[in-house]
Amino acid sequence: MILFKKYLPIAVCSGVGFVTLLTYYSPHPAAGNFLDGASRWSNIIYAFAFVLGLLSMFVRHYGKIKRQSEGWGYSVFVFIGFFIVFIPALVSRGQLLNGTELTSLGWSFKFVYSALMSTMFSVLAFYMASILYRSFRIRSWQTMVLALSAFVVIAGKVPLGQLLWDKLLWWTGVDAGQVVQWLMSVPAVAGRRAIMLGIAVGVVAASLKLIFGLERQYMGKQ
Amino acid sequence: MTFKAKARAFLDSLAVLDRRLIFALVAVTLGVAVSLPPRLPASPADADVKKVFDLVENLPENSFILVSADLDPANAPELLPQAKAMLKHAFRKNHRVAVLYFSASAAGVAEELLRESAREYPAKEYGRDYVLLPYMPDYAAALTQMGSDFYGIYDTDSRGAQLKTLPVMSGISRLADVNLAVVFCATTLLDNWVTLASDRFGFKLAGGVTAVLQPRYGPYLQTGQLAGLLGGMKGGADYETLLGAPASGAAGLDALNIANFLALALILCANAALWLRRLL
Repeated sequence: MILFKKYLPIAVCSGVGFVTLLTYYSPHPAAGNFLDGASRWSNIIYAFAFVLGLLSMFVRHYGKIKRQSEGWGYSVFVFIGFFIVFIPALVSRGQLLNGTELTSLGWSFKFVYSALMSTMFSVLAFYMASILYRSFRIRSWQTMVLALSAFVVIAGKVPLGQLLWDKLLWWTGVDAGQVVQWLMSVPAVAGRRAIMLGIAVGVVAASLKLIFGLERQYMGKQ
Repeated sequence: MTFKAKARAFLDSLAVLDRRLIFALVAVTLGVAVSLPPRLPASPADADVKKVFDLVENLPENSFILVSADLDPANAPELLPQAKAMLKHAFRKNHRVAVLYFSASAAGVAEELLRESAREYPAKEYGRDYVLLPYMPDYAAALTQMGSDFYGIYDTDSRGAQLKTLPVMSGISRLADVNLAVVFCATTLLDNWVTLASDRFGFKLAGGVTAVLQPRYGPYLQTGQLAGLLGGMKGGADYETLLGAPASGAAGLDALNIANFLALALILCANAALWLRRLL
């Protein structure tokens, strides 16, 4: 039993990992064919994962409604939302347009989904303004540098800021655009590059642990 | 109550200002900026935007541009003006365009983008001049496969027609045949286009991202892995200005200007109250 539960998954993971890694460096047609096949497999597995995720969500929310546990009313909306999109998608065979006319799916996307998403995102502007007022306190030189950088970048990026900069800070002899360009291409890029390299090294380490069977979380608790 | 005590009480009340007042201030400011735009003067176009514009402008006629339109309704106000301006430019220069997306919620926006951009050019025909590809859930698999065989992953278009037989795809069999790819996204998808596709298969790649993501791509721009970048609503407005066709990007810039300065004013106001309170 331990063969199927432990050794076989590790062997499959290591084998596929090694071969995929090697194909990146191999110009042989077999390497390309392997990658093509693996890509198709991956897409098919994704499709199954969608169905599995959907079933899991249904079971969870149905359970909440059945038990009438706290917030069960929201779970009802999960089903309503799903059917508002799913039924029109079936009727219009997944097409949003019929010629130039919106299908029922197109209608539900534009007037339900799109409207709700836009509303949710727009509300953020109000919360961000409130948070900036209440939380952005300049109490140290670090926050002062942050605030000044934000001010300069905003001033340099939007026309109104450039206008103000030219009127108030003309005596510095420096253009707002030049300062922004320097901030964006020197300190910002240096920081970003350091983060990218750190992440890349971390990903290589994590991938090698998976390939060599040292990382086994994907098999469950054991 | 002395003046000092009154001033202290006022500054204390400023520090804990009711958030509903801030909400009202934002609503009024943005409402006025959107309904009565003050038409502020445009600033010079960003150099990275100009690079994208020049790329599209200088491609030979009938070139093939691949557009990844991973926009959804939440980020559409920032990305849609960029993508529309770029597509209009491509149609104006008689390039062929294929639009694809890897985000499920981008389906409707991508379709709308293509429809509205093509509407201004009635002579452009679906299948001959432009095409919409279907949704693919796994971008890594799709990008890898497109590198060796475009039709291995996209055998049909979004309407179910055989993609290979469409005139718009003439001469295109893999990613290396693409003259330019432009990725519009609000996620880190552009990183994957760089590492999994353009670096590996060798084609020109540009991007259009939200303002928040713009600093992330500085390293790729400096190394030339990205040929150009449009950032936020300003990127869209810059492209529209270069195109000589101001549209939703330029219109939204006034509201963005004012909203940005409102944010700065709020920070300054809150901190000024705090400093003055310490002095008193």
